[in-house]
Amino acid sequence: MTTTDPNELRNAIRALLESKKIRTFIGWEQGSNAFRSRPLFLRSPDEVGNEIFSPACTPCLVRMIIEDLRYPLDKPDDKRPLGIALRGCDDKGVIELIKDRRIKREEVMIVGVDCPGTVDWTKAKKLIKDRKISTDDIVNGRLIWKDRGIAIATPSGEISLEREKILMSKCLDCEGHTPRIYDVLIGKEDTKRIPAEPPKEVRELEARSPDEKYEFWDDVFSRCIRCYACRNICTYCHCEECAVDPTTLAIAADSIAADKANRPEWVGRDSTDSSNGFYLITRAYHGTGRCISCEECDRACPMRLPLRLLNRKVRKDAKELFDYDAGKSVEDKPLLSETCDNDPGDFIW
Amino acid sequence: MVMKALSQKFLPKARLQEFKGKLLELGELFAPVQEGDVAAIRRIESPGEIVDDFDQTQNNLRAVIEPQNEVILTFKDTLKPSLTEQLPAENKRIVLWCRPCDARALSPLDDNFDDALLPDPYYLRRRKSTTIIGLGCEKPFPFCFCGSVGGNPFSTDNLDVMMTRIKDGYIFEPLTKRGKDLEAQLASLFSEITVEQKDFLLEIQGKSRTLLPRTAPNPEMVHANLGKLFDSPLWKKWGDKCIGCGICTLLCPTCWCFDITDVETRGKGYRIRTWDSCQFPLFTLHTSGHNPRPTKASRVRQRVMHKYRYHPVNYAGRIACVGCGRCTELCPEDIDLIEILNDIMKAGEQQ
Amino acid sequence: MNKNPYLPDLATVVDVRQETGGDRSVRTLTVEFDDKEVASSFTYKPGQLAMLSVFGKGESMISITSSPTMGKALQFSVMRMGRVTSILHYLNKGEKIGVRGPYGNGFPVGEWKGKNLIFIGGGIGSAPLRSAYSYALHNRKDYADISIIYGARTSSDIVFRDELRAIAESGGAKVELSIDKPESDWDGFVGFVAMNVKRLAPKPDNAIVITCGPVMLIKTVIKELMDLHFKPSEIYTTLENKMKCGVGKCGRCNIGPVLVCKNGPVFTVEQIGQLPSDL
Repeated sequence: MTTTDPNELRNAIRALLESKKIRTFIGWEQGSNAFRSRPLFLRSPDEVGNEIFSPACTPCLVRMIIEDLRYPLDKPDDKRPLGIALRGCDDKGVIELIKDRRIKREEVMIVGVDCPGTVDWTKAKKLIKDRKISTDDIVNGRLIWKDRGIAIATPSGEISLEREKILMSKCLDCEGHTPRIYDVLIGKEDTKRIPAEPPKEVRELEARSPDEKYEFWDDVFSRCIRCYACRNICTYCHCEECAVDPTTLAIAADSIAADKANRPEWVGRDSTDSSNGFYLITRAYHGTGRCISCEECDRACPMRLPLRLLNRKVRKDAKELFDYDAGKSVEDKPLLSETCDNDPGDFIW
Repeated sequence: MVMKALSQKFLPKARLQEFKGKLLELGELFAPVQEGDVAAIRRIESPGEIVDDFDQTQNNLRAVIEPQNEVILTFKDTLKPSLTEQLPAENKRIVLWCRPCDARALSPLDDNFDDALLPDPYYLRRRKSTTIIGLGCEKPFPFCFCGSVGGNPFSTDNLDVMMTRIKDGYIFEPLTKRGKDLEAQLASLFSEITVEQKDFLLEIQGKSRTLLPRTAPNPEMVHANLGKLFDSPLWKKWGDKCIGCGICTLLCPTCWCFDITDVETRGKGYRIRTWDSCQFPLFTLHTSGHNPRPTKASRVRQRVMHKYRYHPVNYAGRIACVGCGRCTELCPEDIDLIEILNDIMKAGEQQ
Repeated sequence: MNKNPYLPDLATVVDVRQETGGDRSVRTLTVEFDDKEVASSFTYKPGQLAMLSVFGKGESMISITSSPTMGKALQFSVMRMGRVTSILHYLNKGEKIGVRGPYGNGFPVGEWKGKNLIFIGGGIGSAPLRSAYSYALHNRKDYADISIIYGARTSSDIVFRDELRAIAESGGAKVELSIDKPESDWDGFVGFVAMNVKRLAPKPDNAIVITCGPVMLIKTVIKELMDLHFKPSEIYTTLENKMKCGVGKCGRCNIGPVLVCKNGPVFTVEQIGQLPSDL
């Protein structure tokens, strides 16, 4: 169950917009069916009725802050902060953006919410089939949190859905329902903080032989279509020019010919096992100490590649090798920006 | 359009494995394969790889006919170049169990590539050598809306054979000469269709249309409205939500945009055609730095306009959308094409 | 035509001429096809384009600046901009490139017979213009008055300068050159091309205008022409867009329903007015 009353949340957003303290509020609206939602950009108090807070609120809204940096939501001379709704898992993304100096704390007005878990559409599809849920309920039902699980509220009653069979895998491993940084909290603070254990799949994969690992990952890489959705939805991928994307050459009207002619191309446009692997592994490495395991990459991947394994592994390594937690505090220095005397070096000497 | 059957046969479940094995002998076989939580059309080496129970494959016929990576030529010695054309082999190809919407999508692709003046030999070789066996959808899937764009779950457009899964096996219905030839080559596997089976088939075909979960506004009216909505604020509304990943276009069965790049190591290399997307920010970037579509709003607009306005303007009204629903289902931010079309209708009425 | 439209033909550079200097310098390459049959069967119209290949780097769509009346060699004026054009720029005589084409709709030179032709250009815009005015000058009797109004930033940026001088001296066309800022030994007009057009005040009667160049130049010139009562259907220009296939298939160069590589690059101002604004 959540302690956040959606009406209270709407009132808080309305108050913020009426006070004109923020330029836009980033929340969620109901999506293409009961199980889905999408980002909602609220600018006037009378639009707030569309704001929802339910188990359908799966998309991580932190990405929209990065989108706003590149494609302004509002006029450039509007210096007011962005309002945003954050859950227990999202605040780490904002902390990382502040650490990376992409935004300042005062540029976001955080409304914290108590999130007991959101749905994974791929799991929902399976459940819909197994439980033979009607099209009408799929389209017109509305999800609610109920006890420790989820239910679809329909005119004819509630349909309970088993927690393990519907929630995002990261939600089954939740570290805490509410964010640690916020300006306003709608609901009660979740004081328990359970540090996430790397899932047993990561340990199991680590235990395999190099040949077995190669076979596993080569199969994954051969299915990648290089849509770059994992990078585009990522809360730490905010580089203007991506090293592993040959199409993101940042050129301006005054770039000189020699500069454009001589840019190195680290990976080509072809989508083969080796170039896809190069892309995925490099991106994972760039996430060491920055990946917060929001698992949006996993959710976004249209081929359902097990990218969770990559980001959990990267996070595990940051913790075990450097005792580093991404998204813990804005005071932390970014992990890869400095070397310390006690950094492990057994693979060097 | 459901054509009158030339001859319908019944393939018993017990002979399914043999059927798949025989198809493998007849050509390069492409069929759905289970890959974790999803299915995809892949090249098959053994019958056991094929999955019988699948909804929709993530990819579509483009994987067979306009593949993501296609080497178009190789070159040796860039200083005194010698070129070798790399056309696809003219092998027989068979696609097993293509959904009717994906087969219909070949029509806009043909419009683009099968052009009288400059036909595309890579596309055409694959297209002309591929026999397509469809699988009708007796129960459409959560994002389907083929009925709203001139299709239906048992459409036979561009199919050589239509198969339908029924109790104890499949109905096999040849639709073209190629389909009939295939039927003849597999004749020993089939038995005659019974009256009950024929009736059952008609029943599920009729019912399937009523089971479509979603409807979209009339595409001709969307087309007409789009003519006056180039500067509408609706594009920014949806563009703001977009993250520019390109999934909507890369897995759309009617999309075809591609890039051509050279790869070279020490004077030798190849020129390769790869899928590209109008949703990528630098798709239209000029070397001068000018970008005609610099905002997400302009790119979302381009995608919808191309399918519902520009393609029909150029090709006798053919809407370049088959209602498969992938763009909506696979969009990480749930950008709903039907919602965009609804907004277009609303905005059009206000003008 | 059963030929594979993506397969270039090999051609050799037979002449190179530096036109301008600076970072975005311009060089004119004269190339001849290696295969005699290809050379004799390659026919094109003024204003058409070709895809030039630098194997290993890629392709670039360049307008053919020669006129079909100039013989079998093709000329391309290449401005050094990026990866492919930088290599094209530094090619020497005897080196090889790939060529495929001709692409695009070209100028409707047949429709212009009997009319006064006014060519207005700036910078590298003179490349497609040259193809058209060279054709017209070669078929001089088919056309009435011909004038060429051309400007560049500085006098060293004027492309085809010697040729333009020769044209003026031969009397085949009136040539009016200009530069943006004063220079010590320049006695021609100083100012933007649009200002020169305003000063010269050409008459719209029985006239066709063909204008090519940077976007700003075209916009300002068109404004002046409107003020002089020219009709939008009588003003021709060329549009450019990023191109990859050049044959209307890759979907990249569209402006609305129109593909610049196939339905263009030549358009009248009237046609452009009907296109959406993602130019």
